[in-house]
Amino acid sequence: METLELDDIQGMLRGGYKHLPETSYLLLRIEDVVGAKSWLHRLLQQNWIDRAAETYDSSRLHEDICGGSICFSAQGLRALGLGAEAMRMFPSEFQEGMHVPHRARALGDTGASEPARWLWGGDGEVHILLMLFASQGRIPSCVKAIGDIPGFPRLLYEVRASLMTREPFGFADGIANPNVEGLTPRAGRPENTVKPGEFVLGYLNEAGNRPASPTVEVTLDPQSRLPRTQAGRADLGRNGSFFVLRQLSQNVEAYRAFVGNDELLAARMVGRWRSGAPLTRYPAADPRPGRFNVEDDFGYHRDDRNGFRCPIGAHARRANPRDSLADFSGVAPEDAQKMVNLHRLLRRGRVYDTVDDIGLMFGCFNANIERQFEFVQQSWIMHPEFGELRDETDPLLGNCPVNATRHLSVQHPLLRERVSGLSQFVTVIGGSYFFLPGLRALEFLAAL
Amino acid sequence: MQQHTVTFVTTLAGKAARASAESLLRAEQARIAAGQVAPWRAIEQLHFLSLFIVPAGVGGRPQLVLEANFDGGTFEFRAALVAQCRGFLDALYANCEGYPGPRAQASDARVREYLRASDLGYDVFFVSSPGRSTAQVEFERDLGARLEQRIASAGPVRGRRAPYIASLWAGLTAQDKERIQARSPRPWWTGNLLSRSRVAATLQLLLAAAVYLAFADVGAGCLTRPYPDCATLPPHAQALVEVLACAGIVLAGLALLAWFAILAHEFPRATRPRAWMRIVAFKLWDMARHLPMAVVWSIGVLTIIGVLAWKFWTLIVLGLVAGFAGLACLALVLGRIAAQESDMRVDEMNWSAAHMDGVRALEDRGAQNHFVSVTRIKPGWLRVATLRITLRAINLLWRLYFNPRGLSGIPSIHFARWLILPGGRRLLFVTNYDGAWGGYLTDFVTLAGEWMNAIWGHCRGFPRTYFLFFGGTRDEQRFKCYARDSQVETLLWYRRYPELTVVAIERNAAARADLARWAAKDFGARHGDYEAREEGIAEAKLDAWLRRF
Repeated sequence: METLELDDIQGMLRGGYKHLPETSYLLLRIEDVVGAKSWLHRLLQQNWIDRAAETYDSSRLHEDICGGSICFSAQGLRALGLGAEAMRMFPSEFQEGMHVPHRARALGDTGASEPARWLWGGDGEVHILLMLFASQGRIPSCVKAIGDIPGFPRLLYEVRASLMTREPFGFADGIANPNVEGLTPRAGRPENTVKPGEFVLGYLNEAGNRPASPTVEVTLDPQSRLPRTQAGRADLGRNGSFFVLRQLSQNVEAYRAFVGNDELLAARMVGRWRSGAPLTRYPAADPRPGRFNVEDDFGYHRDDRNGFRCPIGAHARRANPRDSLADFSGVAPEDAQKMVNLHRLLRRGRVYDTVDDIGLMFGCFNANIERQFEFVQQSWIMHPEFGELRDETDPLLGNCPVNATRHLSVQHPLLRERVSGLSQFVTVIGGSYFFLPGLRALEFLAAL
Repeated sequence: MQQHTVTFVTTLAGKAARASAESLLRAEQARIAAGQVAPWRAIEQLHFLSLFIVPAGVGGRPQLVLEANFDGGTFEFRAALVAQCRGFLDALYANCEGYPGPRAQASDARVREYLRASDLGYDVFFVSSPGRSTAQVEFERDLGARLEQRIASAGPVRGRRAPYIASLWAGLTAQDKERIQARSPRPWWTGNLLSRSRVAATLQLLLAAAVYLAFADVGAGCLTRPYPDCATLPPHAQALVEVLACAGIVLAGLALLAWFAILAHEFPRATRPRAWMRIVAFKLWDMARHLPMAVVWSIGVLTIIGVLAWKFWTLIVLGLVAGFAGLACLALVLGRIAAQESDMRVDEMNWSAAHMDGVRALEDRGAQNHFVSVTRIKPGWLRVATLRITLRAINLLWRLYFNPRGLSGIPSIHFARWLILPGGRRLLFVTNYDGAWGGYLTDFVTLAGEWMNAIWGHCRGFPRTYFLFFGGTRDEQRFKCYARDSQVETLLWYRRYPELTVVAIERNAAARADLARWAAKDFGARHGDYEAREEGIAEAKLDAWLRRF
């Protein structure tokens, strides 16, 4: 097992700050480059950016603290002064961004979710994302303190969010996050544990490679802040990651109107009961309604290959098919689980709740956006033929035109039942891809 | 009907000609995108067609490529193409060297001849479902939709499934029923040459031959020396007969073992008294079905044994010498290739290819995508030679062995081809595939990485391979970066059924085929369920059929 340089990795990769309930997402745009760099420099000097080594230091867990993570869009890195030679080393999906037309088409961001309608990110104007996590009531003072540092970039948009026990539709969320070897504090089931290279650049991944890491010419780094690669370049990516942020507006009224009191239908759309209890285990009723149930030890191929318990198209089954690819791709169940582990996301979501809108700030880390987030979104969540289904998308996240409806197939030993009348319950209203550098790389960027 | 393919490669006459051809193709693509009926649609056997321009190689000129996948022969396709699209061809190929000219100047026959002369065919050609014509794909799609509708209106199944399906069947028109039951002709070579039935049939035939030879041998008295008849044969013929007889006895034993293994495998399913007899009868029939292939295999095996027996030691020595010589050559080749590989820089990545805007504009529209890649073969004659051998071998393997399982199990390829372009320095890859580009390439990495290495490892810029087969695609991101970098923009792309994935086509086909078997009361036979043949269909099988909808 590789030892991770926790001193150089930003704290948010290690955990979701479950002890800090309040969050602010600050979306910034660089207008004065010199000022922005000095601001970034001070931010680092004043220890605003957490290191993974300290995040779960038990002495800090009870402090009245505020932790931060910072990441940059491709436009942001260009604005800081990275030239074309350095930028071409970044994967194309990051360079182009989430909002370009062909990517929006591929991700299913069409109709009401199309980037032109987004509140932020729709034209690639966001340069920096600063995420602050704080204990109850501390966020305003943190935001003010950061804004007071000279050179603070222009604030385009701010989203305040909080750690909630249930997402707005009423379900326990974030149960099946993977464990990362050497990074996440607790150990988990072996089939749910992945190599650090799936999320942190510079380490071996599930395929036995090191993910492609952006590098720059050594002349850009005269003070040798960055480690060197074998080929003699400066490694900008090491200990960094790519962060996907999407603001998902949830239409709670439409959802409640559709589901009504039918708890079984609600559970079938998600794949778990509201408590988190998996349908695969408890097909008839929630064993302990109102409580939390984080049971995660089940397989769809192993326990429910026909989808008679948890429908094949259910949200959780699409987003993480576990061993079920064995049912339609002809691979062995353990290989199916390995294949799925090439497409895992390390989620870091929070719930936002404003006067007229409620929803999820969906965030996830990947070492390879194309193979992880984009693949899950395109080939599983939004794929009309996922699991040999016909013409249906994710019951929660799927799109449909205004005044039209979608359906969900519920498999049954005799003949599948088709639940129709689903409308669009979730709309994307903002999003962008970010690069979350390691601490040394941040120093390099501040000195660029 | 067997699918075929053409790759018309023609040289563009100059810069102006290139620009003119490109704008013509873009205009035509825009017409297709706007939903206008393309002239290609009138060519009924055409599955996919694309046109693109391969940039000039070193010292060469850009070339216009038209590639198409269709049912039936290339002659019929060229005739249909010229008959239906002459105007378009005239306008397009006016930009190319040697085109006979517009209708007023040249007959259709001359244009057909021009196209024939420019057709380079393929080095490797892959078809996802050999023999499935456009007409069949479209019929099965429409049938699936009709059945889906009927099931939706008929409501849930109550009680037994057989009457439910019978009522569905009764609701179909006579014409539909006839088409459902029509046998779809498949080319003789499709299917796995090493399938269990074929191997078993071969062994059984060898058993028969061995028994015959053993009797002949005893009859000739060779095993019991004193009899004079055998002595009249020349000595090497005596030896030959003996060895054949011994080999026959060994093979007979193997065949018996195989026979019992197969029977034992089937046995648990047969629970009723007379089941054994039925299985044996079924196996005999199965064997008869495979007789032609078994004869070919048996002759091959017996010839090898015979030749070995005839000059055993000479052949062994020759074989060893040839084997060592081959190994030495292989070691030399691999050593030379490894030396070339080692000077590659690992940091080289270029995710900023300038042509991507055009490529992306056409991507992710409908269920399918098109990918064209042109890569430069590494320098030296050795690389071209090994690449040519590899392509030939892979083409043969896919035809004879991998065919029913797709391209190493990748479930999303309609058609694919590799072709070494004229001049022998560049490799063309064209494919019609389903879903996202990234997911498709991920399948290449996880399911067929070694095959891709064996081919693209011969090209410049490909991630480093080891011993031709290993490494390479395992460096997934570098492989994808390389593939994107080598991509050539598709200027015009026609597809007959843009909404159908391979999975959907297969599902529709399986639904039709199972319905045909049900109608023929032969449903169980395919599933090895001999009980069900008498009782009609097992309910479980009907459930599986219903779950397709």
